[in-house]
Amino acid sequence: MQELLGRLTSLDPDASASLKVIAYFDALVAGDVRVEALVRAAALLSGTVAGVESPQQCLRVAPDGGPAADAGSSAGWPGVNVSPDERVWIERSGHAHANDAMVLERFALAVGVLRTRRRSVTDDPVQLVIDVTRSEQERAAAATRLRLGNGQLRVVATPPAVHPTGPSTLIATAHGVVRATIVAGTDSMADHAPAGIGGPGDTMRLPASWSDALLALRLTDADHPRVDAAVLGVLLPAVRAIESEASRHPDVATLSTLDVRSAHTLAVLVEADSVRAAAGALGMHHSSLQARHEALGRELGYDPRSPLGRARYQLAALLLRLDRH
Amino acid sequence: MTDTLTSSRPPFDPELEAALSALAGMIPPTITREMIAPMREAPMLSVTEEILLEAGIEARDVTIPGHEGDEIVVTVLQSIGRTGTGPGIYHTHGGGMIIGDRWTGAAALFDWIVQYNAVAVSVEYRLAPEFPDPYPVEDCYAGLVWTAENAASLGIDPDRLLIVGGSAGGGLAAGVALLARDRSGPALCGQLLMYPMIDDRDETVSTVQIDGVGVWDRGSNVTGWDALLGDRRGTDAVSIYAAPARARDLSGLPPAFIDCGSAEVFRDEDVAYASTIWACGGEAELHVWPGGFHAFEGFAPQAALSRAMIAARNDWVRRILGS
Repeated sequence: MQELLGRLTSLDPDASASLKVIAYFDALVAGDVRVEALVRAAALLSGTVAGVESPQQCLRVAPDGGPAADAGSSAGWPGVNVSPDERVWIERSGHAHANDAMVLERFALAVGVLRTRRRSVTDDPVQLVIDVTRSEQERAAAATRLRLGNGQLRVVATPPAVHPTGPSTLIATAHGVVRATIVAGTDSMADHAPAGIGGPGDTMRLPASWSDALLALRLTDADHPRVDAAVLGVLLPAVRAIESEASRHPDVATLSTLDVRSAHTLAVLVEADSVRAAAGALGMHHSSLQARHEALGRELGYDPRSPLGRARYQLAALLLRLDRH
Repeated sequence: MTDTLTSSRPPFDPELEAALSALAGMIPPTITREMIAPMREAPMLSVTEEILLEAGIEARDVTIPGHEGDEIVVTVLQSIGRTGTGPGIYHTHGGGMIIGDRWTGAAALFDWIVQYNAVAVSVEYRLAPEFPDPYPVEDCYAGLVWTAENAASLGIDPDRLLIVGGSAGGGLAAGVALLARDRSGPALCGQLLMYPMIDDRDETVSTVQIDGVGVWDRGSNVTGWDALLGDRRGTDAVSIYAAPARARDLSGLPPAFIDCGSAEVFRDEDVAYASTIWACGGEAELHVWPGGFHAFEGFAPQAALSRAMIAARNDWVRRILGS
């Protein structure tokens, strides 16, 4: 029959067929198809390989609807970003065809609509497994889907563009869109920054790990690109507990008034084993630093090298980083 | 059957629906008798020399005796420079009994011709309404007889002769298989019936459901059967060879492969045909593709459902023809 009536084939390279493109993608979106069907549509209509790439998947489809024969990626092809970390493209060599821009626009739009729709029904297992409001059964089922195993797991919070290795999702938080990634073992995370690293535990502890990781991410700055909840210990829940009134406390307010150089001097003074060692690290004369130490102590109202002073400084410094984030 | 529970139909598969909406205007849901002549004249997406060459296929026409000895043409298709013997594929084309020619749907055979070193014979049977029943099915049977009688010179292994047809061609293939059984004619190793058109009676649930929508709807189907059978349509004067759904005894037939979509007119008659084959102790493989309209794999071959449909056929053909 198709010989008699027509067949849906790739569009004429020179003719505009925008209505056909719109009708095709609209029908797919209305039918709530999977993203793979959208990639097939783009490949069919453009007559060339089309693809979608995100941290979760890279899918390339040939115009006949089958998987593309070779390996490839979005690099170098005309495409459109659906979101900061998802891109669609078509592998057009040579001149663009008349309908390429329309195909790409509708392709990207359709993928975006589907992603939004999927998120609202929350079938994303990463989102489920770190969500403290979900029941234990739901989280256990999600963990099983993710094949997380019984080892020690941590959640890492990063900006969307940073991709640690592991199952990952994007979460809209009060502090912007954050990537949550579940990492196994003792990955040092050295390649990924900024990153907030949650404490280790089994799958049931993942919501707590995520909560810590998110707070830890907010504690990162240029001097502290990676903040590990396990290193901060009880300081992390302490920061969380007093976060709301932190900026009003005189210890924090005083720190915030220091200029950059004084703040750096103070940080080194607190960390160093001795004033002499700090002077070496700062390239200052010992006696000059001793004088700065005394002056800073008067400004702060406490000696930052005494045991209690170090504790006051550390907590105030963390709260200030949070405040400045 | 009943007209109270059939107000809705299965939804079309989203990818197929998308293809349908993009093809809107090109496919009239209902084909009427007045449309037969213009549809025959319209240019068809037919097989060209280039397509044949690209597929590695050579073709030649042979004039043979059809029904009552009248001359008809068959096209013999094989790999370019083929040698040896292999299976035979006898093809009866689709087109509602009223349109199409021996090239309609023939491209679906190319892979099998190459893969199995097969020879295909596609028959130019005469069309209704100018040539009503029994011309189409008898021309098709005559072509099968010619193919079997010339098996040796064609390089066909007579034990591996498969009949293949889609839509009206599926109905004709089923009718020819019944004729071959009842006349002790050529032996067939299988019958591949793609969404076959086999019931003239217009009384299934699926024909009521697919009315004014999709491809080859109820109205088109009535147009086709009226052209083939005239006043006899729906009466007791219709043979099982014209409308195989009327056959009660489907024993003694070669293994059948039957497929169709859940959203097409032929769904219920095709499912019933498979059921009757099983009831009679025969073998049939049945696939009902969810959300499929008539001949959907031809209109949207890239769709996931189309690819699955074609893969299922290929798999069955491999079991029938493969060594």
